[in-house]
Amino acid sequence: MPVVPAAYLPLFTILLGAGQLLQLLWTAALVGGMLFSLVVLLQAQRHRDPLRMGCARELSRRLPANGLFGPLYWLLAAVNLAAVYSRYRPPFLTPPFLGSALVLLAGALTLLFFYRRLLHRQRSAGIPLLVGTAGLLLLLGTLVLFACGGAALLNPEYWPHLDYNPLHFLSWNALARLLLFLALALPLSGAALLSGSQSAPPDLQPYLVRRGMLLAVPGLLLLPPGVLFVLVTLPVIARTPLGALLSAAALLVALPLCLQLCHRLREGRDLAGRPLLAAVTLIVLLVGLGDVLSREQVWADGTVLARQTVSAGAEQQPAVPVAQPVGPGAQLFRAHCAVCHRFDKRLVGPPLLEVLPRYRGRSDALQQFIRQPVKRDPDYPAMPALELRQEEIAALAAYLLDRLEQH
Amino acid sequence: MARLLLNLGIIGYFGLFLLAAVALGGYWTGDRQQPQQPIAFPHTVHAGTLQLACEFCHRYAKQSRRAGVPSLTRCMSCHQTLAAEREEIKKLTRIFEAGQPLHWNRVYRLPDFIYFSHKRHVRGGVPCAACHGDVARMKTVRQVRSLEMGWCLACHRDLGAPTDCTTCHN
Repeated sequence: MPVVPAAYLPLFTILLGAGQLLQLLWTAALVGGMLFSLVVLLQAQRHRDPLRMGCARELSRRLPANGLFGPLYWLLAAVNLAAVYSRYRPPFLTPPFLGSALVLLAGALTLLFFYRRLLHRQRSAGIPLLVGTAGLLLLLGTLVLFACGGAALLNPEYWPHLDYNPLHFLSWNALARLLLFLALALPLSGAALLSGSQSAPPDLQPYLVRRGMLLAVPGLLLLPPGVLFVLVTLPVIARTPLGALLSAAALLVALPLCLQLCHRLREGRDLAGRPLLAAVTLIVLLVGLGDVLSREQVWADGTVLARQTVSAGAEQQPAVPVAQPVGPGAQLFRAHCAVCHRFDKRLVGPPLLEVLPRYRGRSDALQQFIRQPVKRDPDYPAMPALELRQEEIAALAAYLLDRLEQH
Repeated sequence: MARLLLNLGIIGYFGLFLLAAVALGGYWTGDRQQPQQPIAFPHTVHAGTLQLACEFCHRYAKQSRRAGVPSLTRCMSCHQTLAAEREEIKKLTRIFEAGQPLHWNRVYRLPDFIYFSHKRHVRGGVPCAACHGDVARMKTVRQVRSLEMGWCLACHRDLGAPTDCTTCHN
């Protein structure tokens, strides 16, 4: 997988964020819809209610994993994983992790496909219920992996230690993300249900509308603690004021929605579906954008290098370094000269191998120059006097001439 | 009445969390992780373009608990002639000539009850970037590690360093 060139990094990051927001919306609708369909199916089985059975069928028909949507959703997840790997190179995105996540997802989508087929062909609810529950559990399994992965992306300081203790992959932030996801999935699927209820068979419409509204309320009520739980469990380096404000904005959008829904439910009145769907989509996007901002906060300024070097440095350098015998001249050179001079290339001052030969065999002249530098070449700035003691100047000159002979 | 109570309940519930989120955002603003410095010192030039070793300026990293910030004399040894026309260098020169101290803002701050020694870590082979990140690419240095105990311990365990409480806790 090629590394993203620096010039395309901002564009790539925006595309990656957009891809993830799309996946978040899609998954939320899928999980919420599936959860609701199963609950209705369970009630239909218990009460032997054909209306609810019809409703469960209607819901399964509307899942965004039917037909071409299933493979497309899987493809989006695969592309997002590949993009995350390209951008951040997390060590936990190993072939087994990638394989298991994508196989789990493919399994979940296959089961959801059969759930719909079985539900429409069979009269009893038992087998579809089993298949659907298995599909939803598999889907939730992939969500756990994605939530942990998303949280781990904010915590690169633990990556070098994952080999030693894989439990570092689990975190409170991952749990908070799962809760928040549920809080987003319920209102989103509820709103989708409301806005799509008009195209449902007329006898199902009131039931769908009512359930859609009922589904959205607990999700919206779970949203504030979910948002705050995610914020307080963010790693220190991922905290960004703008992210917190985006979360607050999401709550601000959710408040009037929740008020409206509660009142309409209490008064037995319906709520228009499309504005609700638009508002909930906005909430999901605000929360998702906050997450993208947190990650970019962590990944700005070359933090990446830091996680690469912690283990590389430890491997390359002995635990107790062997002291190299360094003479006083070399030490003085490092402390006073190396800032501007290299032997073989121009830095601030000229390459020493170019200017030192004129002092070959003339240590006194070199010492005099170090003591009181004179500007010779207009190409370079004047060298400052270093204010060294006589014995230091002598050691430095001896070191320089010695190095000259070695080249 | 019931409608009013429901309204108040929901608004109070959302308001509480909303306030908490805004307060967190406010608490996270400012210079907590990336303080502005009195002189806009570019690590990108010194550690980046010039590739100076960290110890060139932070001279005590190998010998002492503290890595140290360079004295103004050290800055001026180069900058009395180099880039002397730049505004930030003029500011530096004024402070130096007035004999005033330069109050750099601290970026990494450990609690008082923690004993931490740069010397131990540098001599043990931990590269500076492991804790400070790639400062050569930071225009203004910022904190890139949480400095939480779990993070310290993960590395100590990984590299076989001591994990007794008293290793770090006074």
